Amino acid sequence: MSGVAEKLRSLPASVWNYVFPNEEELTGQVDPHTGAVRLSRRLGGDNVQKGDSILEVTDLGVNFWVNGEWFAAAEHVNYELHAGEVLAIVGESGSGKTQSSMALLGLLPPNGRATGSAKLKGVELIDLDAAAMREIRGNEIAVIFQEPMTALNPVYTVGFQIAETLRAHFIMSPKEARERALELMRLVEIPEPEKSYDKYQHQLSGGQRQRIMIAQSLACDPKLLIADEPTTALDVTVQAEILKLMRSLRERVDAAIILITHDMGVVADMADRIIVMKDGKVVEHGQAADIFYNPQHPYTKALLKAVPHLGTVNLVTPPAYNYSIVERDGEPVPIAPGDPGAEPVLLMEDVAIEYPAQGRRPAFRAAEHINLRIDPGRVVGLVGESGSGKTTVGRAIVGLLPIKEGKLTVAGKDITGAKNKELLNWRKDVGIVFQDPGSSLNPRLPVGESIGEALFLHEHLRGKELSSRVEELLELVELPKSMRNRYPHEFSGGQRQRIGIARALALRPKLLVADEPTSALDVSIQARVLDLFLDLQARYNFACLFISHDLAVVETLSSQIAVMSKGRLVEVGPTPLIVSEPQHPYTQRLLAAVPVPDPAQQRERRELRDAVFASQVS
Amino acid sequence: MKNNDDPLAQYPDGIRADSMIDADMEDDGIIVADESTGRGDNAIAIKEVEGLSQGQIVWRRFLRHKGAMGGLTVILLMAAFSFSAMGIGPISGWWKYQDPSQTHPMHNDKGEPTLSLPTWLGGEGWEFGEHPFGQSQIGSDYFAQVLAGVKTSLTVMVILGLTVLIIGVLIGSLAGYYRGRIDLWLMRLSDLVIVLPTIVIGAVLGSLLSLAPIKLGWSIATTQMVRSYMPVLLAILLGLILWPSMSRLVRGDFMSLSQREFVDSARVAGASDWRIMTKHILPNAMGVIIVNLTLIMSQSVILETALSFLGFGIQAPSMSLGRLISENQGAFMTRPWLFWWPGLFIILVALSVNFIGDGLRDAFDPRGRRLPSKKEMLKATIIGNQANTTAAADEIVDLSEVNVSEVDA
Repeated sequence: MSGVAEKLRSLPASVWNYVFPNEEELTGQVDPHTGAVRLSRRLGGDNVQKGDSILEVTDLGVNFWVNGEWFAAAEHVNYELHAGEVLAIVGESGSGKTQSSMALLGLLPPNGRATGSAKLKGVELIDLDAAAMREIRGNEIAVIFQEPMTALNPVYTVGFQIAETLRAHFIMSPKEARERALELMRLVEIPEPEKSYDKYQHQLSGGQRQRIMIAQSLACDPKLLIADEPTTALDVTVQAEILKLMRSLRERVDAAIILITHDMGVVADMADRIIVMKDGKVVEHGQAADIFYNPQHPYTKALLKAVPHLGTVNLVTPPAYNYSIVERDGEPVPIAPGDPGAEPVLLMEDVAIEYPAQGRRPAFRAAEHINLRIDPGRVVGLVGESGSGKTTVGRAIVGLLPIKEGKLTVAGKDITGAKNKELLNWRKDVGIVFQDPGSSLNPRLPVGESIGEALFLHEHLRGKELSSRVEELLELVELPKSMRNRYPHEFSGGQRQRIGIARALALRPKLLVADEPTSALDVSIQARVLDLFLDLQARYNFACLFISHDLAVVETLSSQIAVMSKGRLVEVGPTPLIVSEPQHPYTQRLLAAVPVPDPAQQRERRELRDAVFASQVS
Repeated sequence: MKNNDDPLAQYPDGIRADSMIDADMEDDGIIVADESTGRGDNAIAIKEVEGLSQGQIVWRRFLRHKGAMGGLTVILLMAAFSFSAMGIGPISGWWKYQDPSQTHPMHNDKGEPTLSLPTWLGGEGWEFGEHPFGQSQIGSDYFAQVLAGVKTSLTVMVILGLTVLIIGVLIGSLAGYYRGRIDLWLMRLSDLVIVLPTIVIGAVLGSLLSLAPIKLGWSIATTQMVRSYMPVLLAILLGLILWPSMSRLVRGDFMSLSQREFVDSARVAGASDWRIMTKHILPNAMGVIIVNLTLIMSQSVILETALSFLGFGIQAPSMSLGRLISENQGAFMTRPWLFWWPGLFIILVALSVNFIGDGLRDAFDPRGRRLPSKKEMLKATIIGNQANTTAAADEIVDLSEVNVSEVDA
C-alpha cells in the first residue's frame, strides 16, 4: 500500500468510510506497478492474459434524432475483441466508425442513442449509468484522440495532465503520481522526461504530444484502447515513429486496441483484424491478410484500389534530364534543365520569402534559395512536411506573398516587387486550388458566383453569358449544372474541391498551383478528384505545381518532384528516380516512412525504415 | 440476442478464414463512395440545411428562438402602440390629448389611473377611462407623457444604433482589413474614445445642446427646431462616443476572415480591396455586427434614461422616460403609479431588445445546432422503438421492452 493510503488509514474511521464507502471492494485492488490503491473498481480483475475475450459487441447501433426523425449513423455492428489484438475499423468520414466506438464510452451527443449490446468483461456498456461509466473511462477503456493539440489542455503542463488521470483513479500523493507519470513518459520514449514533465503542450512537437496522449491513456492499465485516427494529424516520418511505438506497446501492454482510421497503409502496418464500414453498415469483416489479399465486397475492393500506392507505374512524360539534383554541403539546388526550346511558365531564381515582422514578432523567413523551373504543360510535385515552406512557395507564385530576394517570373512576367494594380491582367494566367474545402468557398455566396467571379472581373461577363460559362465549368468538373445556385455548406468535401478546381480553371490559366487539394478528403474521393485533375490537365495542358505531403499522390501525377525541407529545396529530379533512388537523406527518410497498403510488403518496408532511421541517427 | 438471419451476427471467436460480406450492399451496386447521398453522419448534417441559403438558415433558427420571438413581438407592439397613439411628426395620433405637457383638472382625488383590467385578469371589467395611466402632480395626462417618452426612447435607440453601425463598421473594417499603420492609428483613436466616461460626456453634450442656442444667440425658430429634434441630436452625439466596442469586434472579425482561403481566392481572381471587403468579408461578419448592435441598442435605452434622470439628457418640451422619473421624484410615496409606468416601459424595451440580441446570437452561431431536450429525446426513443417493433417485430422485442420500461421510469 502506498504512502497516502497508509496515512489515510490512521485517520478516524468516519473519514476513512467517507473516502471509501465500499472498502471491501477496494482492498484487493492494488496496482501492480506502483502499489497504489485504486479508487475505481476494476472489471474482471487487474490482469488480463493475451487472448482473453475483452469486448463483445452485438448488434450495436447508433442513431441520431434530427428534425423529428431517427437517422442511423451505424447499425448491426458485431465483433469480439481479445487482449493483445488490434482491430482496425476502416471507413470514410461519416461511415459511423467513430460514433460506433464512442458509443462504447457513452460519449454520444445529446441527440444520439446507442442500441444493442456491448459487453466489456461481461459488463453491459450501453445505457450504463453515469457514475459507473466514469469508472470505466480512462480506467478500463482509454482513448487516444486524433488531434493532440486540442486534446491536451494548454494551461496545464503535460506531466500534470498525466498525473491528473492517475490521481482520479488511484489514491496517490502528487509526488507518487509524478513518479508514475515519469515512468509512463519513459515507456512512451519521451526524451528527458524530467524536463518534459513541466512543459506545456505548445512546447512539444506534434509527435511528442501524441506520445503524451498515449502515456495518459496507458496510465491506468486500460483493458481496451481506442485510437481514433492517432496519426492522421502527423507528418509521415512522425507517423512512422508513433506507429513503431504503438507496435512495441502492443508487445508490452496486454490491452486490446481498436484502431479507427481511413489510412489503409496504417492499417496494413498495425491491424490483426479489419472491419470495413460504409454508410453506417459493416460491409466486410475479417483477418487483415484476407481483407488485403482477397477482398470480397466491391466497396472494399474499390477502397483498396483507390489508395495511391507508392511505386506504381507513372505514365507522365519524363523531363529532358535523367538525374537527381541534390543539395550538398548547404549549396542550394540549382535550376533543373528544362525542355529544349520551351519558355518556362514558372522560373524561380534564388527566391527567398519572408513573413513580415508584426509588432514585436520578428520577420520569419519561410523559404530561401529556391530555384525551380516549370515548363508549359508539366506537372511538378512539391513535397515536404508541415512547416517546410511548401505552401509559402505556392502562395508566392500566385502573388499572395511578396518575395524578399531573388527573381520570380510567372507566365512570362517578372512579378518581383510588382504592385497589385500591375498584376491585374497577369492574374488571368494563374490559378490556385486551396487545401481546405471548408474555408476556400465564401459561405455567403452561391457557388456559381464564386466560380464566376474571375469571369465577371476579367471578361466582364454578366447575366446569361456568365451563367452559361459557369454551368460549363460545373459540367467540366462533373457536377450537375443545377448546383450553380446552391451554397457551399450543401456540398461534401469532395464536391467543394471540384468547385475549387472549376473556379481555378475558369480563365484557362497557364499555371495552376494546387496546394494539397486532396489531403482533407477520403481516399476514394481523393482518387476521383485526382482522376478528374489528370483528365483536365491532359485536356487543357496547363502547367501545375502540385503541393502535397503525400509522395504516393505526387507520384501518380507529376513528371518531376521537388523535395523541400526546412525552407530549402533539398532534391529535385524526375519522379521515377526520386521514388526509386532517393539521394538526399531527408528524401530517403520521407520515402521509407510512407506506409503501403499491403501487410507483407509493409513488413519489409518497416525493417528498411527502421534501418534508415537508425543509420541517420547514428 | 442471436440472430441467425444476419450473416454478421455470429462468427467463431473472430477467427475466420474467409472474409464476411454484407449481401444487401452488393445488390445496391454502391461501389465507390457516393459523395452526395448516403446515410451516416454526412446525411444528417446535410438533411438539416437542405436547399437553404445561409441567411435562410439563420432566419429559421431565429424564428425557432422563443425568447427572441417574444422580444420582437413586444417591441413591435410597443412601437405600434406609442407611435399610433402619439403620432409621427406632423401626423397626430388617436389619443385625445396630443400635448403631453398640457394640464387638466384632477379627474379623481389624487389623479389615480382610470385604467381597469378585464375581469378575467382580476380587474373590474375593461375600461380605459379619462386618464388611463393617471395624472402627474400638476395634472397633465400621464398616458400621453409615458407614450411620448416611449416614442423618444425607441427613436433614440434606432438613431444611436444606426450611428454606431456606420462609424463602427467603417472604422473596424478598415483597421481589420488593412492592418499595419492604419490599424494602429484607428485603434488608438478608438482607445481614446473608449476611455471617455459615457455619462459625463453625455451630460456635457446634452447640456451643450440645450445651452448652445442661448449662448450663440440663435433665432427663436432655430432654437425651436433644435429643441424639437433634441432626441435625434442626442442620439447621434451618443453614437459618436459609443462606436469603439463595435469597431473592435468588427476589426477582429475582419482580421480572422481576411485570413480565410476564399478571400485569398478572390484576391487571386483579381478582386479589388473594396470588392473583397463588401462582397466577401462583410456578409460573413454580419452576425457579429447585428448581435453587437442589439446589445448597444438596449444599452442606449438605459443610458438615455439615466442621462435624462440626471437632468442632462432630453430637455423639455421633449418627453423622456428618465425625465418623467426625475420630475416626479418627490411623489414616490403618494403617487406610486408615476414610477410604475415609465419603469415598466424601460424594462420592457431593454429586455425585449436583449432577448432579440440573444436569439440572433444563437441563430448566427454556426455550432449552434439545436439539440433536443431530454423530454423530446424520451419521446423520440419511444417513436424509434415503435418503428423498430413494427419493422422487425420478432427481432427487437426484448430490446424495445428494456427501453420503454426505462422511459416510464
